[in-house]
Amino acid sequence: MGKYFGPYGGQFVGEVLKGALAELEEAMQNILPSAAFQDSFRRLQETYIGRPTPLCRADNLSEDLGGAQVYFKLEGQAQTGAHKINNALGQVLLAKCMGKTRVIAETGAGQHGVATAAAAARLGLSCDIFMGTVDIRRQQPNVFLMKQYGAAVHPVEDGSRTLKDAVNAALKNWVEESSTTHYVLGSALGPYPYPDLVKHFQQVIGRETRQQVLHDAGRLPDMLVACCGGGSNAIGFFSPFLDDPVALIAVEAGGYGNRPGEHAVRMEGGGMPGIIEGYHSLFLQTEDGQTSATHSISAGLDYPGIGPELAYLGSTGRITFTRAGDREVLDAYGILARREGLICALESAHAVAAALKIAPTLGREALMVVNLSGRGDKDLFITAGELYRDAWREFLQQEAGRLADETH
Amino acid sequence: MRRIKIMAHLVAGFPSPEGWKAAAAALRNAGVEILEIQIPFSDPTADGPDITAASEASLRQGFRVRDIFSCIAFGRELGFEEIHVMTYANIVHRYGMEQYIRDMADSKVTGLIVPDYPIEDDHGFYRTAAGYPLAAMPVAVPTMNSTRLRMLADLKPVCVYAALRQGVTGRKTEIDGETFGFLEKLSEMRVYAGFGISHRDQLKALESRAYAAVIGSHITRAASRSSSPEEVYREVDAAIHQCVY
Ligand SMILES: Cc1ncc(COP(=O)(O)O)c(C=O)c1O
Repeated sequence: MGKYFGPYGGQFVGEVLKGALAELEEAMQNILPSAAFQDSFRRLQETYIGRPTPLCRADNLSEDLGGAQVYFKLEGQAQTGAHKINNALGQVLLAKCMGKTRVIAETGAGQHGVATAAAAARLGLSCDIFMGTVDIRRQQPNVFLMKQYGAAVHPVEDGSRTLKDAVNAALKNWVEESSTTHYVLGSALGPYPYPDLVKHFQQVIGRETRQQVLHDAGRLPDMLVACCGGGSNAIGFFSPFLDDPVALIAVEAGGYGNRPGEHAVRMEGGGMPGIIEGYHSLFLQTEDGQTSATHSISAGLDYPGIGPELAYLGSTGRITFTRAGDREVLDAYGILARREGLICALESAHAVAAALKIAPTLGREALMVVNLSGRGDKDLFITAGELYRDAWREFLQQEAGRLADETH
Repeated sequence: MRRIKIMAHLVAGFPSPEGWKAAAAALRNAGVEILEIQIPFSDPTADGPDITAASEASLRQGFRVRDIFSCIAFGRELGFEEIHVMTYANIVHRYGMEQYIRDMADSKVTGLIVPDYPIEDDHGFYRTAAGYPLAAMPVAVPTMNSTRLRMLADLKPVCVYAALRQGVTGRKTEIDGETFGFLEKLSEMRVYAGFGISHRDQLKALESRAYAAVIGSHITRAASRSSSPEEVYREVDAAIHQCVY
């Protein structure tokens, strides 16, 4: 475990949070390695999350692209539809072992909120989710799912009313309630020890991939590609390969332009070093140090900061960062559905878009694995609106009319 | 006769540049000795709803970090005995930490508060500031264990900001035996005690146990009730008169 990754990381929090973070660090050291924890967690991974998730060879796409043999790691097959459950369930189980009775979480797209709510329901803890009102409006289906799992969803009216403000609200609530409550942070960022804790639970993606590729191809892959918001799927996928000769490509949200507010590209010169939400890393911010607005078609990548370990590995060149724009992402989403029968999350479609560009530049003997961090059902209201605007509007109006008639 | 000083906390540029001046004047005219000015930040993780909303409003109106210097100058014209500047680590980091400390010292600021520079993750903030004629004030909280209290003492701070309870700013705090026990542990330092103070009874309870009592959200709430400088003056004047005696 490390508190710093080069200059990045750390624990830049008010003194009020120091005690809770120390308690968490101690629990990680004592509880995570215990046989009791590992046994229960393994059982939950197999019987509830549905691990291992499949590694799927993409023969049609590989043929089309005429370059590397492409594989997809299907994290969307995991319970609740994304890799987020790996971390959420692990942390909720840890919280239960710590004697906590309640968990809280922030959510943007709602995927981490849904995963935490499901895990809390499964393990019998009460659950409160903080979500910006802008996100609540654009992610109603996930708000609905969280409520089905018995969680309370608290609207956050501060700041830009999006993910970063939900993180702030969750931190404030934790400060008040830390004796009974564990804060389930959703990505590999925030104050130490969260980047390590989240990586710990997400590494299963890379470990399984390694075994599965070795089994199928008899050797390690040449390249891994993952999308990168806060970076939990990317670091979990990459970290078991850091010491191997495997190229690692992380794909950020290019949005629709290069100006501030039009994208969420923190690496490649967009982000500046900063200390926000408890950690030192690269952030999209103004000259004064106020966080900037961001944009992405995928809510999960729409965040101004990046996990400290990824920022560091980007600065050393171990991980190469690239971007994919909203348009390319929608195209990649469609191609994947038609050629491989896979409907992926818009976040994951960023990785697919980059893979479509890179694979043809590699030789036929090269092996590339793309992490499909989530499946695409959650995005129906966005993708349908983008791809079939008129038909979708008509459908929504008709449904609204039907509901109005029924209430009369 | 009041035997504890008052440190009033205002978010710079709130509720408007002119409204801010009116609020500061009302405080000084009511006899407040110390002014704490907060440079607004987009992600204030230690603040309650009132100060968070005030920071946002100030930023929305275009407040820039460099505008703090005219606020400091105005505070000095009003004759406050001490002027402290509070903000978050990212503002200091972007400004350049040593430059920030130097410029604040040059403006005759007497103290700096950065709540998310904890004792050991401060990029050297407390030691750097020790070389300048101002006090960098670490934050102490009642839940600190003896190890952390010792680490705090090792910094040899002249002044310390004591948050009187767990949580964020805003809610009212009961001053009781536990509070006193906590403050006794800080008796070697000059203590500015705050969080949830809105009434003179709380100040009386803190007399002789703290050097100053900090009043923040209570005044910010008052200042938020209007934007015309005259009204702001009246609201802040009424609010601070619940505390002075
Ligand atoms: C499917 C999916 N992929 C990726 C992300 C981005 O998060 P991270 O970069 O932490 O993996 C999210 C976040 O909500 C997501 O839902």
